[in-house]
Amino acid sequence: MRNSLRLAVVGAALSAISFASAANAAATATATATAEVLDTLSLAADSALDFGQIAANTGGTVTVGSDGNASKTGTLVSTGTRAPAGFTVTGSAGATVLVSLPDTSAGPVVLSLNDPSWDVGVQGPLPTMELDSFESDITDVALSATTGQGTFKVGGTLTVGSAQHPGVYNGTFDVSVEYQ
Amino acid sequence: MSQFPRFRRALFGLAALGSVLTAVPAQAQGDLLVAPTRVVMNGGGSAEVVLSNIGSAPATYRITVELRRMDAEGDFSDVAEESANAVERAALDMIRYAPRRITLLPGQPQAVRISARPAPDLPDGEYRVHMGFRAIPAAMTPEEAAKEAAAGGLSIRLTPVYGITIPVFVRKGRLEASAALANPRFVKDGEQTFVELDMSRTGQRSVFGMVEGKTARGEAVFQQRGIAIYPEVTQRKLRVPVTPEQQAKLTGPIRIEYRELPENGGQLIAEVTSAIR
Repeated sequence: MRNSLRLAVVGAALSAISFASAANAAATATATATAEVLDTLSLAADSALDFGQIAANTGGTVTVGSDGNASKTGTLVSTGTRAPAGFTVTGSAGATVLVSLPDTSAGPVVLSLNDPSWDVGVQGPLPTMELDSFESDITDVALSATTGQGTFKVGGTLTVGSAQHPGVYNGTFDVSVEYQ
Repeated sequence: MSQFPRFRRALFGLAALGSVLTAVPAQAQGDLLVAPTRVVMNGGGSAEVVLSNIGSAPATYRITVELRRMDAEGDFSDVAEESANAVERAALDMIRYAPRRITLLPGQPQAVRISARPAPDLPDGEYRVHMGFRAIPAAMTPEEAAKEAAAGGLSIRLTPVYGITIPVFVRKGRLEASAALANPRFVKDGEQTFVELDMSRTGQRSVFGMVEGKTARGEAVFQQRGIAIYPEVTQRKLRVPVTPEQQAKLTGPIRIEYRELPENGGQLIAEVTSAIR
């Protein structure tokens, strides 16, 4: 059960060990065990992208920057805690990873009203809001030479319509760290 | 950016509209770890990548195969499957992997098996895909949705689908490649200073390694690991962030080396000795 051994070790120590030369060792009767420590890369979400509290009024945009600055346009009211999403990357000391954000050149991320009882025939199309202009404070994360850690933040712009229908709006956006 | 004092804006909101509602921050779920961070299969074969749930809740992960292209800045761009070129198409066609969806308890790892069999008539070369590991966000229960909707107002539930991609290479035939470094210089972006470098590559495969800058006395001042030049580019830039202390040491001729990683033998790929301006 080479795999289960390998996995158990990964689970415990966050690095994988395999006995790659087990076959050779058996053939030569010399007890050589090779431990291969694999590079690991992990990603953890520290905080969510938060647009705070919004009252739509006649609409506008709320922008939360990756630097933590929030701003708005239009007549909507934006209050409360507005914060960018934060992530921590952990990998080999001194390594570089790239950060990929949604490419909204082809279209924004759409948040849809979560209302199973919405009747398109009677009430019209399901209300949506749009999220775009994603940006991060850094695009190349250089992991610390001592701890192997790096952090980055992601902000974006939310567009709210005039008299935006009240309710819960759901949406997802993709963030990837990419090893070269 | 003009910023009203927050209390004033809050007061205005309450007075004018009275329907200000809370946004619900998404729950952090789906933290993940992947090992190893790149896979090279010479002539095809099979390999394993371990995915582990390092979050505090069970999570379901989706495993995908995607295409990326490197540009002259060293950044990646997505390539949609329908705009794949012949080499990318061949890479997608030859890679098999399973499972494609894994549910893991906190702390639980599982291996994803990858195999590749390049067709015999395929030209020699390096074929590459990027394997993505991303948590599928947990859906809101109807009860949660009903509760939030009943509260009225505008509420936003934004869930990041976050993950890791690693490159998977299949090399067919005997492939050679070499690289060169040129023109190290200081550039500033905001407050941060970088050593910027032109890297070039020739041959039929990618090169990968670490870049290290040393003074004339042999003191290593900066080092960056995990730097690749992919076959689709012959040149890329590299930016290494340096602190003011590091910058102060980078006077006179500096030897910059591009080496394979120590675990791959540490062989010198390219070097340049030059003053950094």
